[in-house]
Amino acid sequence: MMETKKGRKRGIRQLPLHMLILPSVIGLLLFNYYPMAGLVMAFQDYKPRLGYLHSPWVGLSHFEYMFTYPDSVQVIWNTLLIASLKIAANIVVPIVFALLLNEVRALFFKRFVQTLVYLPHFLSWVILGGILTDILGNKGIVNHLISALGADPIFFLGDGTWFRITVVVSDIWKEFGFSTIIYLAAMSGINMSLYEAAEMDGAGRFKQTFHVTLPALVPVILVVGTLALGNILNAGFDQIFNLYNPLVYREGDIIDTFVYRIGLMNGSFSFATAVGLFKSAVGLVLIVIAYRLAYRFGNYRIF
Amino acid sequence: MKKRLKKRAWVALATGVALLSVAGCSSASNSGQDAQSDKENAGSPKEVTISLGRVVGSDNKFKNGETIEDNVHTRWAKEKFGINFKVDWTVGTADAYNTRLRLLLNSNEKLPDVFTLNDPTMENQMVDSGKVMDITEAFDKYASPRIKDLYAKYPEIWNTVTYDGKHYGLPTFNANSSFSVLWIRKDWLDKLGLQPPKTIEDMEKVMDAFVNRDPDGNGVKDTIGLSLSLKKGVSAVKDTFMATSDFLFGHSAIPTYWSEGADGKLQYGSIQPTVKAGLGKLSEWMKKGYLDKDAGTMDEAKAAESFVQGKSGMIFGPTWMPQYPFNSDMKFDYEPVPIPAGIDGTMGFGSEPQSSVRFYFNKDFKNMDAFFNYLDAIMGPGFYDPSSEFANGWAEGYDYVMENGEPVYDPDKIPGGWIDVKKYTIYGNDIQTPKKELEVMAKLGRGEKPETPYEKYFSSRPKKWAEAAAVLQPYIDQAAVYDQFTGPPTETMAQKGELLRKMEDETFLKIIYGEEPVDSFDSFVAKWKSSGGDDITKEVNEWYQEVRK
Repeated sequence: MMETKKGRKRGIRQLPLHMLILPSVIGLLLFNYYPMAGLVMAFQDYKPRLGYLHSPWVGLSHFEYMFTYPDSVQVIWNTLLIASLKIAANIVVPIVFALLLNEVRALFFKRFVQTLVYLPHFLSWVILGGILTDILGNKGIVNHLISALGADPIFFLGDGTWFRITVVVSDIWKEFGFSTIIYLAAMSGINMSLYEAAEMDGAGRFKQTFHVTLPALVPVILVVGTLALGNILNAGFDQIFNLYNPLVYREGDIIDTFVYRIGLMNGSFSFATAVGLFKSAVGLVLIVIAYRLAYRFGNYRIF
Repeated sequence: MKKRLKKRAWVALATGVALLSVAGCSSASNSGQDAQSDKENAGSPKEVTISLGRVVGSDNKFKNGETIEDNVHTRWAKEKFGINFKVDWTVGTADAYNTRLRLLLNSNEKLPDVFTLNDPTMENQMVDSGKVMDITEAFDKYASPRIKDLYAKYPEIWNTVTYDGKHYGLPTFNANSSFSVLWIRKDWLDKLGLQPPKTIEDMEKVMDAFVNRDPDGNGVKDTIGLSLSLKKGVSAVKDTFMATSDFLFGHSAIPTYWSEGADGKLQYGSIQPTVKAGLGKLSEWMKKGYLDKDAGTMDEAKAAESFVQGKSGMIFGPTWMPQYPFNSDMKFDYEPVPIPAGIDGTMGFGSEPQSSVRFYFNKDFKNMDAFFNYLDAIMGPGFYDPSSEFANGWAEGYDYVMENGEPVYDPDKIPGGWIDVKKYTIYGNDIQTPKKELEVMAKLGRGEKPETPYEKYFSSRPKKWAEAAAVLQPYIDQAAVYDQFTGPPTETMAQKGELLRKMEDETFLKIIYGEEPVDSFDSFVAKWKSSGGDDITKEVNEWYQEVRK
């Protein structure tokens, strides 16, 4: 009784302080939650002049259209495939690289490499698209090397299978430096006495990596992995749009480029919203599943 | 301490409010005075207000404390026509301008008196909403004779804004002065003893020589015949603005364009038999190495690089290519020549649209007479009228200065720097008229002496541009193929258009790359028709009949 009274008193005293977060809450509601009302468009035949209060309801017909569209299955499959490859590679490559970099003793070299691999992150796909078209072309430097080794030139951007590989590899090349920084930061937080103890017990560098560093990284890996799953239906619009062409439509067309082309044809708000909603819903389900799995098997909670 | 702070804040606030209201008063009284003085000034036209939304981007420069609402151009309009431009709102980009208009349309708020649109879908919604004016009568009543003549000469320009025979907007013309010529390596032709190609057969001979007879003399087979961009399919200027292959198909059908057939109905270019023959040629050329193996992955700029770098013998494109992408580092002899006759024996190329932008007017707007007077004046340069008061530029001391009776455009000589005054006009740009620019450029290209201010101004453009204009002028009317469907996407187009286009691009490229036989064109046509193409053709023709009533 005494406790709660005290608590209440303190609560009142601190009320003005609590009020300070009010603007942010209002902002959040206004800019993040209120626009979600626009999602009703996905269930209407939205006409700008009628607004979403008066546009006629069409139920699930946009979703029906999306799934009966002849190319939908292909496009969704492409998206899933490219996105999962990217997600998997974007977890494995940075971890391996961060582990390697962590072993480097020369501080200058470490910093230098770190900056170097981080740089491509800041280039836009418009520029990279042009560069890749050049170096991967039939007369580009890569095919020069391949020819010099006696093999036939590869049409990286015009052959379906190679296109997918090119998309995933170039995405990793561009982004792994960024993720590496996260893992390096996590590693620098590991208690040094753990390494000392491991060394006492006779563990070499390899053993230390596997039994000290990696277990300490698991929470970060889980967070990054779980959040990445929410993007499973985002295979990277900028990249694909700048690299693809009619020769690889079958293997390279993803949901976003598909919606972009449809939008270009007719400015169909409702359909675009329906696809967006579908993507978000799938993303949400996957995040929830990943979260549960992480909780059950890793006994780790993100939220 | 706390109290004192509070007090100060209040004082500051009060002062601010007071200042604001003073400013408000002063401007109000100012405009009052202006009105007064204008009334006293006998003979000055009646005063009207035209409300606008304006794009003021980072490239809009101002000097002398001017604003988009009060500047050298608006003062001129006020003095000459008594027009007050009232800026309802400003946005930073053309995209934002469209978005704002869309929002105004949705939220039932007031549209500006005059605004421009460039998206047939949105224009259709605008007209549908009943918020824009039918200008059929106003045009007949107030448009100047030369404007009426121009629109009478190209009646199809009205198609985009025509509903039930009435005109709900005023389309503006594009220059239609640049497309298309063939750029070819003169030095290679001379070296190999060849003439510029006149037919597709000539073309093949020339390409074969360019590829196999080592025209650059480096002993390596590293040259191609024709630079081509296929990244956006086999298309013309609507999708791919240079390095296209549309000349190959001749005048009877341009892929992706709707044009009138012998029966007076619109037909889709990509499904015509000449396109099959053309694709067969492209496929053959790809196999023989006349084309860049990477053509399918390259956009226009990438495709043009091979020509710029001296590795390609020909490229097809607009007359202005010497400005971009060509440059002064190209130390070899190249020249514009007429396009060869296509597969059907006639010259043809896909033209740029006749109109890209349309003016629309709020239905409550009352001053169409003032608008048309103003429009005629700012279209002076578009008519290339030497007596236009804008013949030298838009405003002396802003985009030019007079020196010894001649206009000078050197920014260093203009006090306060060069200002792009045409951005202050309600169109934000020159309003062009068809083929007038071509006329001027062609005259310069024939080596005639520049006389009018426009000719003098254009004489600073690259010489090869003018030469290309002189090459293009004789055949532009005969060869230009317009996309005659200029309405909003039809119902089936909205549903199936993307699917059909994707199928088309995919099939055409696979044929060119030899991954599918040329005969797969036939199954494409059948599939195109059955998966919505026939419905689209029907709808397109319904629209066509409707606007031509």
